[in-house]
Amino acid sequence: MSVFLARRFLTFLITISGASVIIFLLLEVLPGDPALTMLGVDAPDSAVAAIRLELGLDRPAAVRYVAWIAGLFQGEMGLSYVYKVPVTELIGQRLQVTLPLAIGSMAVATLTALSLGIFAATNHNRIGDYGVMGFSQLGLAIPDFWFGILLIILFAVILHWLPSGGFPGWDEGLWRGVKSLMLPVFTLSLSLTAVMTRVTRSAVLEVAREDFVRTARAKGLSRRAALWRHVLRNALVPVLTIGGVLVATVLTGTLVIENVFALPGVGKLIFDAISNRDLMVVKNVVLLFAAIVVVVNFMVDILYAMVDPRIRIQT
Amino acid sequence: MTETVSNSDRGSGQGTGRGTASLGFLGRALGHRSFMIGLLLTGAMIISALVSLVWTPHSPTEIVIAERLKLPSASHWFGTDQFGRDILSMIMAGAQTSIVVGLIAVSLGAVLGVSLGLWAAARRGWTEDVIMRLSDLNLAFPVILIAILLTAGWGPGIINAILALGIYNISVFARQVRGAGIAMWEREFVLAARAAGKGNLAITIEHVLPNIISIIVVQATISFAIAILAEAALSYLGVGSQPPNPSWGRMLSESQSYIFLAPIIAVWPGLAIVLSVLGLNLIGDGLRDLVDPRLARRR
Amino acid sequence: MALLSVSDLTVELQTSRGMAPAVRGVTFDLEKGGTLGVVGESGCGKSVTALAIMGLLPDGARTTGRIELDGADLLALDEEARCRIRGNRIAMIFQEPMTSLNPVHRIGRQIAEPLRLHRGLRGANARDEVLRLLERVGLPDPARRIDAYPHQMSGGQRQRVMIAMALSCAPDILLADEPTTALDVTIQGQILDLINELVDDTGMGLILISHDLGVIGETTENVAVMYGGTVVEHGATDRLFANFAHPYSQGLFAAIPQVGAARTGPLRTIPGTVPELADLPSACSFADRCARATEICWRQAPRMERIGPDQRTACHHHGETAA
Repeated sequence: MSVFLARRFLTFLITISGASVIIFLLLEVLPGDPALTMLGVDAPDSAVAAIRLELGLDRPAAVRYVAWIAGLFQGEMGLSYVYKVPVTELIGQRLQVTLPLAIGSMAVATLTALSLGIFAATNHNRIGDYGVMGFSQLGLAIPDFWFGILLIILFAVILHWLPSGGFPGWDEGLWRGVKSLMLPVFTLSLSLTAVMTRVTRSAVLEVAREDFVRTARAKGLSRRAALWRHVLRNALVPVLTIGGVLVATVLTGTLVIENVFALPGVGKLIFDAISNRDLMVVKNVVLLFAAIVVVVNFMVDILYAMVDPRIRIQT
Repeated sequence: MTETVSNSDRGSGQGTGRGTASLGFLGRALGHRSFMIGLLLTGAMIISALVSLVWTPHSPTEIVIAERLKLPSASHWFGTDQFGRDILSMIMAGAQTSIVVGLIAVSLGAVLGVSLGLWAAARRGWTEDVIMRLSDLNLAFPVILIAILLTAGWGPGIINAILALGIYNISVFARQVRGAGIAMWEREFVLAARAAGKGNLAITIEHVLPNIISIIVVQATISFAIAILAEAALSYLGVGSQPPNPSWGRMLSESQSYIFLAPIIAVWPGLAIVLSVLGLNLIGDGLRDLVDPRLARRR
Repeated sequence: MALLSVSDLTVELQTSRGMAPAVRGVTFDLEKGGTLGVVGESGCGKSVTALAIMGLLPDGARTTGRIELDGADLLALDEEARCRIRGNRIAMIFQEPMTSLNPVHRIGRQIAEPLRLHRGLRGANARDEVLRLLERVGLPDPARRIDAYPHQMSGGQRQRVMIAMALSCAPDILLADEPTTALDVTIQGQILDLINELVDDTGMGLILISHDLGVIGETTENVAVMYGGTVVEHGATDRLFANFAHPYSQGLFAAIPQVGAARTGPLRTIPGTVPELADLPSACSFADRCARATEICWRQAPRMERIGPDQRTACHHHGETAA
C-alpha cells in the first residue's frame, strides 16, 4: 500500500510541476515579450518600460518562473495588474460562487445518476431502461450552455419563478443565494448525469453477471440484497473513475455556466482577465484548475485502493 | 464446465440487430435502427454544410436592419436575428465551421495519438512510461483551459479552438490505442509473427493496427461529436470562431442578449448542435455494436 | 419418502435463437444422507438441473415438472420462500472458486452472511461460528485467515471457504457443481476427501456434478449419466461401473485414463460433439454419435427401462455389446 501511495504521489508531483512549466511557457515565453502581450504591440515604449519594471518582466524567464513558484509556496500569487489586488484575494472571493456551483452540480448529478443507473440496470431491456438510456443519449448531445439558456427562457422569461442570472452575494441571505444558483446547478448537472448514468448502468449490469453474485443468491440473499451488498460496491470502481474524469468537466463547465448566468465566479474572472490581458490572473487561475484536476485524480486512485483491495497489490 | 446459456442480451436495447450474425456488415447496419438514425442526422448536417457552400436561402452575413428579429415566415423559415440576417442560412453556414473544426482537430489528435499509443504498446518500458506521463499531463488541461492559455497568449481566433481540441485529443487516442495495442501484442498471431523474426514496426503495421482500427474509428466518431460541442462552447465564450464567420456557438451567445425580446432565436442553433451531436453519438454507439457484438454486450 | 425428488423436470432457456430446451424430463430421487453423482459432457444439462433445484436459472428460463423437498414442490413456492431454503436447507458450491467469492469483502464476512440471514447470528457469535467452520474445512490458521480477502488465498483455500459457506447453516443437501475442475490435481483429491468426510459426518445429502466419471465413481453411491438434457443411465455406482449399459456411458467409462495401464494408441474418445441445445433431434439424442445406432434410434426416443436391480437406462440397444 505504501509503495502504491508513493508511486502515485510521485506521478502527482511530476504532473503538477509539468503543468506549471507548460502554463508559464504558453503565457510568458512562447508568445514573446509578456509586456507586449499585456499592452499590445502598439503600446508606447514608456508604458512598456513601466510595466516591465512594475512586474519584474525584465528578468530572465527562468528567474521569473522560479519567483512565481517560490511565491506559490508562500501562498502568494502576485498582484492582479488590472485590479491591483492580490490574485489570491480575487480567487478567494470568486470561489464563493464557483465552489458551491461545482459541488452542488456534482452532488445532484451523482445522486440522480446512481438512482437512474441502478433503476435502468434492474429493468434491463424493459421500458424503464430504454427511457433512461434515451434521456442520457439526449443529455450527452445537449450543450450545457444552451440548456441553461432554455431554462432561463422557461423559468425567468416565461414563468418568472427564478432570476435570469446574477448573484446577490451570500450576505444577502442564504435563500437568495441558493435561489440564484438553482438553475446554474441544474444546468451543469445535466451532462454529468447523462455520462454517469450510462457508466453506472453498464457497471451494475456487468457486475450482476459475475459468479460471486450467483454465490450470494445461493446463500439465500434476495435479488435486492445481492444488489446492495455485492453488486454495488464492485460497480463503484468504474463509477469512481468516471467521477474523477468528470471533475475536469465540472470545473470547465463552471467557466461556461457562470457566463450563461452572469455569475461572479472564477469563470467570469478568467474571461475578464483574458479581455484585460491580465496575465497574472490567467496564469494562476489556470494552474489552480489544472491542480484541482490532478489532485482529484490522485485522490480517486487512493479511493480505488480503498474500495477494491486487489488494487493495493498491483502498484 | 457450467452451461452459461445467458439470456440473449441485446446490446443497450436500442434496436440492435437480433440473431443476424449471418448477415453481412451492411445488412446488419441497415437493420440497426439507432445507427441509421445517426447516419441520417449526420448526413443532414454534412449536406447542409455542402449546400451552403454554393447556395443559402439568403446571405448568412448580409445585414438588413428593417428585417431584424422577425419570427419564422415563408421567406425566413427560422426567422431573422438582431441584424436581420436569415437564421436558416446562418445555421447552414455554421455547419461548415463545426465540420471543419471537428475534422482538423480530430485528425490532428488521431494521427499523433494513435502513433504514440502504438509506439507505447510496441516498446513498453520507459517509452511507455514517458508517453503515459505526458498524457497524464495533457489530461490536466481540459480543452477550455488550453483554449484560454492560447487566447491569453496570442489573442482570440478559431485556430485556438482547433489546436486546443487537437492537443486534448492526442492523449484521448493515445490512451485508448495503447490499451488495445497491448492486448493485441499478447495475442498468439503476434507472438507467431515475432517468432518469425518480424520487427516491431512491421508487426505494428501488419497485425496490431488493422485489429484495432475499429476502436479508432469509434473513438474518432465520438471525439467528433465532442469537438462540435466544444467548438460551440468556445465560440459561445468568445475564444473560438470570430465574427463574421458563422458559428452555432456564437449565434447562441448573441441570441442571449435578445432573450426577452425574441427567445425563439436561441432555439435554432441549439437544435442544430443537439441533432449533429446526437447523430454522431448514435453512429459511434452503433458502430461499436456492429463491429464487436461482445463489446456491445458489455455496455 | 425421498428427501429430494425431481420428476419430469424440463427447463427451457432463452437463447438468441429463441427458447431452447436445456433439460428434458429429468427424474431422480435423493434419499436423506444419500449421494448422487451427475456426469456428462459440458452442455448436457447437469448444471442447469442444479440451478433449477436452487431456483437460480437465468432470467427468462421456463421450468416445468416437480422438484420436491420433503414432499413440498419448490417450483410452487414464491421467491421469498425459496430464499429461505437457499443456503439454508440446500446449499451449493461452484466450479470457479476464483470468481465465486466477492473480491471486495473479507472472507469472514462472506461466510457469516448466511449465518446472519438464516440463523440470526451477529457480531462475536457469528465470528466464533465462522472460525469453527473454517477449522472444520481444514483451512490453516483460521484466526488470521478470517480477515483475508479472496485474492490473498490459493484456489484450494478458496474452495474450502466456499465449502465453509455452504456448510454454515447445516444444509440437508449440498449441490457441488464441478467443485474440483478448476483446481490443481493434487488439491482436487483433498477437496473431494473433505466433501466425502463432511457428508459422512453431517449426514447431509450430496449431489456431485462432474464431467469426470472417475471422480463420481470414487465419491457417490448413485450415478446419473446425462446426455442432451436427459438422464440416459441411472443406478447404483457399483452396479453401473461393473456394467454400463448405455453406449454413451460406456464411451465415458472407456475414456477414463487408466493409471498404470500401458498406453496403446491415443486416448479413447467419443467421436462427434455435443449437439446444440436448439438442434436436439426428436429421436435418440445420441444417435448421430453412436456406433450402434439403427433406424429405430432415428425414429423414436428410447424410454428409461429397468435392466437390473438398481440400474435403468434409455437405449434401444442396451443388451448388445459394444461394437
